[in-house]
Amino acid sequence: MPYTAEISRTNPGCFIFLVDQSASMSDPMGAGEVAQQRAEVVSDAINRLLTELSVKCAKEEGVRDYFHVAVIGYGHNHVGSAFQGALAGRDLVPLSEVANNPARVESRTKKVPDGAGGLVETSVQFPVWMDPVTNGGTPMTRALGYADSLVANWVEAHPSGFPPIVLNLTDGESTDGDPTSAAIALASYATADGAVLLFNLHVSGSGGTPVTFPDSEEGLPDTYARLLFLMSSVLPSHMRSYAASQGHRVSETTRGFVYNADITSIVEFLDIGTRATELR
Amino acid sequence: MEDVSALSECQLLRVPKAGNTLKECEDAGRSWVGDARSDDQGRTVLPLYAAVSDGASESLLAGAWAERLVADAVESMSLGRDWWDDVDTFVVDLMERSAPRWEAYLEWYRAERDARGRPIAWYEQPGLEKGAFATVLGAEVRATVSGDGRADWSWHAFALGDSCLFHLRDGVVRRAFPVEEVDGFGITPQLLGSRNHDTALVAERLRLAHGTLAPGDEVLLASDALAAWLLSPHHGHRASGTVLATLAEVGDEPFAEWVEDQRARGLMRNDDVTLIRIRVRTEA
Repeated sequence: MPYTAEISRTNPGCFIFLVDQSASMSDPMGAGEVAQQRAEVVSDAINRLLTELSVKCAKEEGVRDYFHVAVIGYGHNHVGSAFQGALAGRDLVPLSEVANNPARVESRTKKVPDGAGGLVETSVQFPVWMDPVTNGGTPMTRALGYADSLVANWVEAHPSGFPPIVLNLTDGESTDGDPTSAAIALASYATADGAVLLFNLHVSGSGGTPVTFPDSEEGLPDTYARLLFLMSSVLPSHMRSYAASQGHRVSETTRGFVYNADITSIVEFLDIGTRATELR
Repeated sequence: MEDVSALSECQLLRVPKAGNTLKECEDAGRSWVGDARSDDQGRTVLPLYAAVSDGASESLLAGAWAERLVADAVESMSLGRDWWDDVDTFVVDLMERSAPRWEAYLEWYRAERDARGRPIAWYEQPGLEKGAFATVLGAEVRATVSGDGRADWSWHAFALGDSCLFHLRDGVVRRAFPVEEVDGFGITPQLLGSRNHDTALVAERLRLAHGTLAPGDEVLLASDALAAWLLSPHHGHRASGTVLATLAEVGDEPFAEWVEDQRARGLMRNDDVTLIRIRVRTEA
């Protein structure tokens, strides 16, 4: 059965994030005064994804290298590592190094239940590996090509492992041509356990209803959203089950595509062993 | 009084997940020969207690929590006499035993980390707040010896999650508890969380079972990967019980080698393995 390979320190998984850092990412995501800049949404998403992944793989005194992670930015004249701080310039990094080397750790406030039916503000640590960057064009095709070379090496070195997962976070407006062929080429790499999974988070100013893991183009607001949907891999069956358990309506054609909504939940799709769930 | 150690044999075998050290093993097993006592009919009761717990991979301090649970489960069973008759009281006793000990352990753990200059990191904090999680399976194997020296054997067990008890006769599985089919294993078993203080819910979810034993029978307590192997149809139950008996008798190292071989051949999932094997001797 595909997509069932063990993910462990001896058989690690590979996670590649592609982050759109073009000028158009300085535009707001939605309408209204509270609309957040797309680049902020995307950098927040990356920082939260890396946090969730580190917490998921944390054991006593360290994070286990169940994954190797790359964060690749693409913008004006540049496709390459988007890590800041000690990891700057590096591509695939073992997760323990990622966890131990955020550029900084911020203190943010969060509202949590006070145990008496109300909410109380508490301070939480928020590690930051990358800040918003907005500059120039959107060389998405080149970025997919960059991921292609990382994936090619990974698959060669881990022929039986869980296939690499590539998550592209963008406003979809590629300026170096139609990225479809590059996406097809990237998703055609495979290990014995299955083909590469290419997912997309689309942050857009087109408005409309946020969409999470759709199974058709219907209802998507523009051509960029439809293009990114078609570039996205169909979710493997176990990931579909997790999406369904998170309350999403799924079918056999559900794809790893999210429009103007939170994608951090995909970390929950990854199986690294028995889950820690409260008795119900 | 009879000497229970002469009546039953008990072994504990543990093999960590491939790629992990034994220190990283998050399964725990414990057995203890209880004190002989008289029942209300004047017969001698000779108990043996055993427990297995499997810490959840995605929780922190899961191995320590599993160790806590097996120790407390054995203690609660041994102090509860016919503990299975009042499961609510038994669960309250077990959880009230574990909770303060675990809190004390956490306090010690944090202080020890600070003292070593390795304070809790940001990525550990959410896991510590969520708590540790583990399955728990406990069993009492009991000989009740009449005045004429005749011994009647029985087992009583409780389970939360997918660590399993097997009753074997002549190497054949006669009873599997609480999971009876290989499809019953997954990555979301029921677990006891270290922050769970809902004794009523735990009592409701706890499963109980019992059976009688004959001389020569075996009772196995196993964590899920080995339990799934025992329930798999590819090698037949007869072979499985006999294979394990032979391996257990030769000791830890051949058992570990065999586990590694089964994993390499895809016949056993790569996970921590714990086996407690109790054999009722043929001669009393």
